[in-house]
Amino acid sequence: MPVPDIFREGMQRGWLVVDGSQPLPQLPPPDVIIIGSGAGGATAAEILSEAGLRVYILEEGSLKTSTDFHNDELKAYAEMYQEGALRTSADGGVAILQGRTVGGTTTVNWTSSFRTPSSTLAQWRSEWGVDYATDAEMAPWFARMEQRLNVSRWQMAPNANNDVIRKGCEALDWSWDIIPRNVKGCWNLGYCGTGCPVNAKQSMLVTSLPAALEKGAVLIHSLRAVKLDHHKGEVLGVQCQGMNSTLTSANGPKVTLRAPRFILAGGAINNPGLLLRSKAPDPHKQLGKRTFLHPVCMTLATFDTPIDGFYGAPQSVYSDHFNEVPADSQRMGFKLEVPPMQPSIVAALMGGFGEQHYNRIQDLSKSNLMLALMRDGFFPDDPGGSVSIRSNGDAVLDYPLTDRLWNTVAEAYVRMAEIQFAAGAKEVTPLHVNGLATHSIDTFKAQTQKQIGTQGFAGRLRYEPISVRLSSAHVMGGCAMGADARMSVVDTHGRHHQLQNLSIMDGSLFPTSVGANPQLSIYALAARLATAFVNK
Amino acid sequence: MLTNKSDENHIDKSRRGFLKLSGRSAFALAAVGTVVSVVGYTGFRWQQRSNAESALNFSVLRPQDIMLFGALLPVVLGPNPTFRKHLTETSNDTGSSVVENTLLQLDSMLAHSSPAMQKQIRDLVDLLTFSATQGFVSGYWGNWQNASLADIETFLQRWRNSKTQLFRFGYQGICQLCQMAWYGRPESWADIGYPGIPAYLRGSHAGS
Repeated sequence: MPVPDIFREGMQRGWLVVDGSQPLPQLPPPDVIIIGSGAGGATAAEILSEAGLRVYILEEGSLKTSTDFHNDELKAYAEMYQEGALRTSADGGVAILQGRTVGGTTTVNWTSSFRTPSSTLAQWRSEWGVDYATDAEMAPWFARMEQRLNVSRWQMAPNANNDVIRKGCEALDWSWDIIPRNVKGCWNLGYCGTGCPVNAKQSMLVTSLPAALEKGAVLIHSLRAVKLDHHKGEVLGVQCQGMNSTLTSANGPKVTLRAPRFILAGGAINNPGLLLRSKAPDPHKQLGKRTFLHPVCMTLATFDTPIDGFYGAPQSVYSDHFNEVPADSQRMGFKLEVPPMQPSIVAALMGGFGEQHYNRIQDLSKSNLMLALMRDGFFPDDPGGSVSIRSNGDAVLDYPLTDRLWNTVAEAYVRMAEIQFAAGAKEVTPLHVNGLATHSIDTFKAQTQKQIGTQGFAGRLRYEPISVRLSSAHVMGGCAMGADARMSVVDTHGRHHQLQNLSIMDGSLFPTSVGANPQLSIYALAARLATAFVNK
Repeated sequence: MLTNKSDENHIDKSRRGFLKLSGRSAFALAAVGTVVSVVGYTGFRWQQRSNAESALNFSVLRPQDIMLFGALLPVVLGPNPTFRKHLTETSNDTGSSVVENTLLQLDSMLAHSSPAMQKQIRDLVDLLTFSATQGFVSGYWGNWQNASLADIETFLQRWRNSKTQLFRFGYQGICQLCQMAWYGRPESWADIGYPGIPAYLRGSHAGS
């Protein structure tokens, strides 16, 4: 049954969509160049185009639209994720899933749409001087973007994988709730992570980018922003180069694009990377610092009944029961969710090899993975990672793993196992290279026990990089906003402290992590900043 | 079996020194350099070897990568019936084998990753195949093509439990690449109860 590919149809109607791996055609001159087409860049592009500005949107990833989305994991990971979904932190300690395609991560995310938690906004206000970071000030922006992207609590029944959280939390009398999702006419397929084949996900690919293109915006994909030319505090142009066919490096035609104003929205690793390559002024050495990941640890549960977590909305139930912590806590807060259970990604996550691995993957259809999304960046001993550039200019994130993080992992392992056992799991395994299946919470606790403040060898698991399997799907920060130029990269309106015609509008602005899946936080902040940008 | 504990410890200490000096970004090379200097190797043949071109029909994997991953793949995937069946069936004919198809898939994954990831994998393979370093880092001294199941299991366990982060990274990289590649392929799905994408979607894309 045919689903209209609204993006290709728009191109046939004359949208200015250009392949940057080829020499560029003659194009109308831009008022603003936006670098990045994801949640931040596309939101800004729609608002600026609506106001009559001619924007260029530059995107390093290639153009893939609904007719390209075949629910094929490996094809999607290779073509639409940063470093083909094999990106990691510098020492391999955290695997990083991040989009690299037109629409950015919004094209491949799992649609969870939370407002920024009040406690996060409060921290941004008190510690970073973001005076508008209050529920009351931000509510209209959340509401506007929720309406724009059709965000609402998921109405259908959660799939059995998500339902484990509901069942377990109900049995334990812990809080849980339904996840709001940005979908319209969702088929409940479960393949959000490989690109929505039916254009139900209200990603940037089917919402803000089309709206901007209708108003005359120019989208140039497969084009890397290599370096900003700047002089005396002003950005003059951006040196660009076309990408190769596998998107691993820029070896195509070079072009320098000029505009009066520039907006960076390339995400929390690539924005600092571009500014570092450009030798942008950074008098207080803040650029690329405070980069956060929401590091995720997981537990694997097996049930007697079918779970079939590869089908159905991938995320529909969550628990914030452990997400708020007092100021003297030894751990971070964590949010509990589940990932989709398609075989390639689950095979890579579940650990082990040979017979042990085969025994685990054989039970795929009866398995549930649970994840704890750790809320990094809220304590003085948890400053996050820092971005630097490799000798070839590629950006890389060094993310040290702190004792606070290991304390959080140890606690989260146990809490997740409690939920899984309470929901009827027959066995639960912590995703650790030495993790073994346990049949009761007591043996699980004995296995994962960690003494606070030590590397923790009390149980049988070592809390150390790589041995604890950590991943991230949320990269934030690196260009922190703040009122004090000594501890931030841009001001609270997203304007670069030193380069006066450069703004940043995406998740790289966040001075801490969000504490929830970040897309709605990015949309709302970008909408607010872009509206102020237009009205200035 | 030779395990060379003392050599491994020596490598550990030297590597930590290197890390203090240079940060953590060049892991593989650090260990390679250390090991090479430990055995007093001058580096010319090393250079020659590590710059080898990718193999015919592959865009990233070189002959030594294919040899090593080809040897490790059946052990990493274990008693997976479909993989095992094809493995024995095609051992007598010259048609493209299940190992080669999985390696082509792995090659495509790496081809889309990044220069840094490609280099890390190549450096790891060099460590594991270069005669001056292989035994010290892996505990196995023979030809990988001739390694027994037990030899390879011992090696993987050694790296999994190593105190050296580079080796743990290598263990994880090897396992995850093999597992992602094989379980991303439709012929692997029947064994694990994954019915594949819903039939009506397959239909909608039949002509595309």
